[in-house]
Amino acid sequence: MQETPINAKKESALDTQALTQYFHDHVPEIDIRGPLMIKKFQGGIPT
Amino acid sequence: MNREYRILQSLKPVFPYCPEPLHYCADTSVIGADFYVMKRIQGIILRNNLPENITFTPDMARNLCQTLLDVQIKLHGIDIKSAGQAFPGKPDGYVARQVSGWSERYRKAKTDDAPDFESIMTWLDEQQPKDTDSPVLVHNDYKFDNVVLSPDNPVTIIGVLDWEMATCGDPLMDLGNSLAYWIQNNDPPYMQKIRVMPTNMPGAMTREEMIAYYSKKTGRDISNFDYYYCFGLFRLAVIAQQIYRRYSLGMTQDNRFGGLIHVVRALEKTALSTIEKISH
Repeated sequence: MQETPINAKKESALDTQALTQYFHDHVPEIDIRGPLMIKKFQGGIPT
Repeated sequence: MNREYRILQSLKPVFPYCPEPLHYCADTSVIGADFYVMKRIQGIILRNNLPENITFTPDMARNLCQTLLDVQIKLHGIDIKSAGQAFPGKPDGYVARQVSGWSERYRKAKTDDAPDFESIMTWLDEQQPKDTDSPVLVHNDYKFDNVVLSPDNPVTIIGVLDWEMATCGDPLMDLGNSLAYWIQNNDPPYMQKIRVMPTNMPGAMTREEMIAYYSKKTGRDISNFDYYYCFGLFRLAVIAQQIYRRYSLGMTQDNRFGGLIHVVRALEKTALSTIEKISH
């Protein structure tokens, strides 16, 4: 929680096998091939 | 991530510019960290200079600057106490926490070759304004490269990204943070060198014009705005210094980060000259 992430842009078109499997198993209503952005935790939030 | 996801959930119904959140996953085993998924907003994001395929007339540039402010003003106009909204943050003591928090971060991040910023931190601490009577949801990183422009009409904003620092607080702090990035043509060369957005394009509004426009549209008192601008410069310096420290310790190999020490120094110089101007 101390530092702002280096990479300010965390949206990326991740399409790993694990991610695809996760959505298939748990959130099938979301089409991961669609125009989506995924943001993952990379650091702290200094608010 | 869950915090940002929940902000987007609360915000989307009242602020259509933010991405639509679709799903949050707390399971870190999937891709190595928790994450959320949102609908992609497809459009143009401005970086250092305008893309080659985009030309703005001075009038268009001015319109875009006004639109940038108009969207921020819309955000600041959201009723954060309305039913159904759940925005995080503690407006009471917001400025004091921001000043002390960012000062602490700077002292932790300071390297031997970095300016000490002590006189600036002392000034920010001693001169801080009282809490705003009308706190709002602040984005805290609102700038050109966090907005998405329409590919069909690039002076139209269709999206606002990166809500990780959003909280409830003082809108002038948000505007000060935004304008810390705003480098205009009559700024000194050491500031021109650190410009990262096309805020110098012909027709672009100046900081003074932006502040006046914001005040006219919101009715907020901007007579003490130099304080908020100075804080914005300092906060930006802290962010740059945190990254520079990681670089100087070998925690990141990207050589571009080595130049951030010049950003820190330029921001210190501008913050000092701003304080000097107020003091005379």
